[in-house]
Amino acid sequence: MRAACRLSPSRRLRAPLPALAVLGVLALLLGGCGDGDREPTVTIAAASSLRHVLPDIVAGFERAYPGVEVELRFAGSQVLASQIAEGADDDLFISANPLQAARLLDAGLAARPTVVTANVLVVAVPEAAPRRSLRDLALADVRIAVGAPSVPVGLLSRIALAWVEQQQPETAEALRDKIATEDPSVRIVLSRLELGEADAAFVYASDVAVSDGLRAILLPPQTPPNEYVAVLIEGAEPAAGELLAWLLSPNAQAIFGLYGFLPSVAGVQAR
Amino acid sequence: MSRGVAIALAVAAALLALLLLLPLGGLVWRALSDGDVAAELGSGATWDALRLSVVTATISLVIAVLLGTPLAWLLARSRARAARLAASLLDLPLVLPPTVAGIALLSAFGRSGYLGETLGGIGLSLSFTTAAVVLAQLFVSAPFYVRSAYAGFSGADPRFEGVAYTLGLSRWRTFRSVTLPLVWPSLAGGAVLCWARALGELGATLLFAGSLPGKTQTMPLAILAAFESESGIAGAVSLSVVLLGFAALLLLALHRVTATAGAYR
Repeated sequence: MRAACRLSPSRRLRAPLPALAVLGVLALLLGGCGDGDREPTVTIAAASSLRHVLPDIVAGFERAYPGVEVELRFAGSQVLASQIAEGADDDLFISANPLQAARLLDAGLAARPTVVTANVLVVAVPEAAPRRSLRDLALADVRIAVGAPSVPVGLLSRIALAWVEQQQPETAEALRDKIATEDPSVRIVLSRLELGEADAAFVYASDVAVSDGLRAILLPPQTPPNEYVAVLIEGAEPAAGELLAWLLSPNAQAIFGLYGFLPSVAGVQAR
Repeated sequence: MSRGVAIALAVAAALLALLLLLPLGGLVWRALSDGDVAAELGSGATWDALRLSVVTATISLVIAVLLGTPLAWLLARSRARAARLAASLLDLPLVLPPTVAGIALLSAFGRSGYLGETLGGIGLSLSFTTAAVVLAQLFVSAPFYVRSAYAGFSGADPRFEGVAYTLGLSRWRTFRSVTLPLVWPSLAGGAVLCWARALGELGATLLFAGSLPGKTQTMPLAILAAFESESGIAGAVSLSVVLLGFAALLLLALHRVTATAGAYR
């Protein structure tokens, strides 16, 4: 939208009539764009897993800062980081994968890395199924969905299974044998349960919190939580800094908690 | 043809050709500057994915040809209204976004799909198997072959076949010596499209077959996994260039084979 606004009208005088008509239509379509005294708009590019919780948090921010408008867009952290590296016009990036935030920091495209919340890995199973522990799963004829090792949820699943192996080697081995798919995103891992193709899925506690009919089986507590890192993108609106601070406020942290996320202070910094 | 028309045609042709080729060139350029194609070629995981892709796409093509040729012939030769309706309906998988195609396959053959329970009853579970990869590819790519073969059979005048019969040729001989040479370009073109589409299949495979290296992770799925990984775009484009290179080689070979086979009549 902003790029389109830079269409320079300087040569319009010499342009033939049809071109003028096209410009006119464009101007109508882009109406309002370039309007000087508009409220500042902060665009947040956020990891897909924040889709449910972030609108609630932002609503609180907009009440506290009535002059600021916030736009949200969601996609996989990798996709967002790539888009920002290629010039996407976001102000704040909240990554579910700290590596993707680090990529932008290393490239000098972002600043102020802040852990805003974290997510605990669990094994989600249908509430109706009789399985209540990892051992139950290991003994049953089930199919398990996990993330690919290239995405955080898959990497954490491997770490968690390694911790299971410390205590119950046979259980860990049986669980690994039942892995039917290694998916490229946590959303797809979760869809295996929704579509009934898998009986258990290694996903985040927040996924189970907003789902219908799923129950979480806990993994060894040594499994590290997945941290969400927010960074300010180069050239961000000043209000984006306020928003970043707001994410750490008690108000925002309480909402994170309601949606199954860990509070950033107790869950992450203390680790 | 006047000179002006010739130039206009050449410009139009060049424009589209560039539009199709420039992004591919960009991919290769990016892989050579940021990526590491040699490292991908040296990795066993790449070869596993490539082998799985080529094998499954080829099986899909063979099934599409074996079952699709009779289907296209019957539809083209039938005068029934239902045949024309069926010919249109069989194009529908082309419309579906691949992810929706995957959900459609699951809804029929998945564990909770309406045929899945019957299949499960006889101990057959398709999802997350290599057979599911083939089925997903077949679902999205066979319409390309059937559509092209149908156009070929529809364009071949049945009176040639009639003449062949009156000359005492058997049905098989007629098909082989009269019909097949007439429709060969359509069949070959359809086969190339079908194979290429199967090779690039991503969305339906991911949903229906899952993504497990060595079993269901085809090259497009490996590229997706690479894109999400630390190596990001650089890894994904390197793998893509490997896939592109092999597809180019195989397509050139396929064009040669179909051209020489077509010349024999």
